[in-house]
Amino acid sequence: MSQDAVIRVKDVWKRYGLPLRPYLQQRMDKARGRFNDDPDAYGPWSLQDVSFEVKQGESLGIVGKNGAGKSTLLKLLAGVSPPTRGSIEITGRLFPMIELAAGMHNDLTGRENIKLLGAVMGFNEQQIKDKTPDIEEFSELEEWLDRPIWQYSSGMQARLGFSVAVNVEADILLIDEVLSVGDVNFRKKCLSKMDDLIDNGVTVLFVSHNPYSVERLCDKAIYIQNGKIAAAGEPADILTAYYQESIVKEDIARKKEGEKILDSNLRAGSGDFRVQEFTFHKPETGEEVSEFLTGDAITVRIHLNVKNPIDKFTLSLRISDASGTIISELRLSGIQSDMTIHESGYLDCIIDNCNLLPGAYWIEFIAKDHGGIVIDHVPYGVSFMINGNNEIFQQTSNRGFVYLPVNWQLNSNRSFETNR
Amino acid sequence: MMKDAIDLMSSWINITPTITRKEKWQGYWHLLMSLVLRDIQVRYRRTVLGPLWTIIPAVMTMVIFSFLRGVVDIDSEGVPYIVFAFSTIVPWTFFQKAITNVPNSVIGNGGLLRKMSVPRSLFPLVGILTALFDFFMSFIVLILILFLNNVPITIAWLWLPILLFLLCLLSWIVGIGITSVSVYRRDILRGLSYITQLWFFATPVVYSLNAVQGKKRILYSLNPTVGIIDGFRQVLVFGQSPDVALLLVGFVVMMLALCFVLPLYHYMSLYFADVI
Repeated sequence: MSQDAVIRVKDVWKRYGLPLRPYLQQRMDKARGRFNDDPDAYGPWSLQDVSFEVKQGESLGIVGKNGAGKSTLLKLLAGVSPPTRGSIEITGRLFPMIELAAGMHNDLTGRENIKLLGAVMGFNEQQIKDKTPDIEEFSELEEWLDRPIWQYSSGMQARLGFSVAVNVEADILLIDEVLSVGDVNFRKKCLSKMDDLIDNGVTVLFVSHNPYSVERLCDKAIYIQNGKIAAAGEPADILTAYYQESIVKEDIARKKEGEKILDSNLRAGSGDFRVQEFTFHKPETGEEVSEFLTGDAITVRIHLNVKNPIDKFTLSLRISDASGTIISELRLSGIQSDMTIHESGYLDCIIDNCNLLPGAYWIEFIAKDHGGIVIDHVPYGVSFMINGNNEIFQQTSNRGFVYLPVNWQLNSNRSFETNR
Repeated sequence: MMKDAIDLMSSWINITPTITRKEKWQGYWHLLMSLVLRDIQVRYRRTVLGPLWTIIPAVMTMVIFSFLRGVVDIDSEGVPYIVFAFSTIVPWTFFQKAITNVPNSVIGNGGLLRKMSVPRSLFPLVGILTALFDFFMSFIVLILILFLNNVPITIAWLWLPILLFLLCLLSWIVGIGITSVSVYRRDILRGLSYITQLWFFATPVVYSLNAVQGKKRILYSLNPTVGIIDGFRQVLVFGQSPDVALLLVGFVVMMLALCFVLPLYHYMSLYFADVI
């Protein structure tokens, strides 16, 4: 066990609710000589045998599906709920950035709520006085600060809470997806404030569904599944594990859904032609595969069943990541090309250098005629995998979406001058 | 080179040293006061009568029983009924508000309980202090009424802080008792208004202590509010010391209740965040 860990979670188990009833049940079973080996016999465990350490200045990302136990873990760390078994040790001042609206009152104005939230978040009077200008400026609420917050939009309320929270001086921050508040600019401001805090040596525990925030902010990550730590390590690896896990599960669901999606009777559009299926091939050999390497050439084969011949049309093939973010849209405008679709067959979309980073990607397809009427629309239902290699991992650490081939050059000022 | 970098870093790292005990308690005190201020402030928002609402409950009870007295004969021991009844309605209203406020304050601040590890005993205090504020407002009205009816201020008034302390202690015990059960199952909260009504008539608020005689008097005396509320009347209206024997009996009952309620509250409060 290392000395400089500021958070130590050891063999923590958590079962919600009063422990009285499970305890009595257990006692009764023992008295009757019955032993129940099923760990869930006395109520479901929210966390099982969770152990990890975080050193000072580290940022740890926690990923997992809804209900996996992420928020429970934060609650235990915040000290509001005791673990059923195990121990938690925390050194330093901890501030949970969860439920930022807690303590706010709808009938009070923004300014009054800032004072109140300050008290809730542990400021003394002098600190509140000192920080109020910063908080007010950060919130960008201006004249709204004098209005009661029941008139605020939900985004504005969240902004108010966040503005107070980022001004708290703490050694350890627990963050629960609060970065998704407000508009683009505010979110950017929040992210850069988080970067500042991390650079200043604050230890951060960050719970999120958004893989990019985790990759961006965290040095380490753990993946929680059904209350257990399923994997721990580099954020990129953990996220890959997380998504691969969800792909296996989702694959079954998606396959069912995919069959439904590929059942053209259920789809939108005029139906002049319909996509029957997508297949993925290696262009060189024509071999059908579903896994590629970063930088490979890929053929996406769109199998079409034509009812009425179409002369002018526009096609879009969208590639998106597992969380639904569109990475690229590939368009074929029939007004520019002289392609016509008269009879059933297949259309090949050949991508020469598919520089996507490792992960699972999903395909969406939309076809419109020249009048803009949708002929066929296949929502995300089909996926392909990209696998990585060491060289690309070293150059990108698998953060982001794409690999850009790169050369680094170092020039001193002198050589810069002589070059000129 | 490396050393420079580290020095540069340390000037960047700005971590507050772990706060002292004193600062921690100052923080809790500040939070307590802020929550009380919030609860007092918000009651006047979006109302027409505003701060008048602090004294309206006591005044309305007064009005209702003045009407009732026109029909039913209630002995007021030779003093004007308004003086006789208002001197006890004001402390009673405080008690009633306090025991209602305490569970509401804990449950209403569930968001805070799920988020911060502040002492769980802070929230009952918020409820009691908010009710205490109303008490002082109504007490000003009470003094005005006493003055208008030529009731003198006597040395017996020195008993008032003691009586008020006992009443606060009692409402705290009852409040955390109700809270301990209510966070888990809400039945008592649903029925609380009936319980307080029953308790109201089991206390000499609108009638005289002397109206209860005989065997039932012994059972009646076990109710801690009897001694305290009657004490307020003896001191304020008649300028006499309260019945110390009654107060003592009530105090013993309170302490017995405390022995049961305090560990219960302590145990339940550990799991507030789980069950609220």
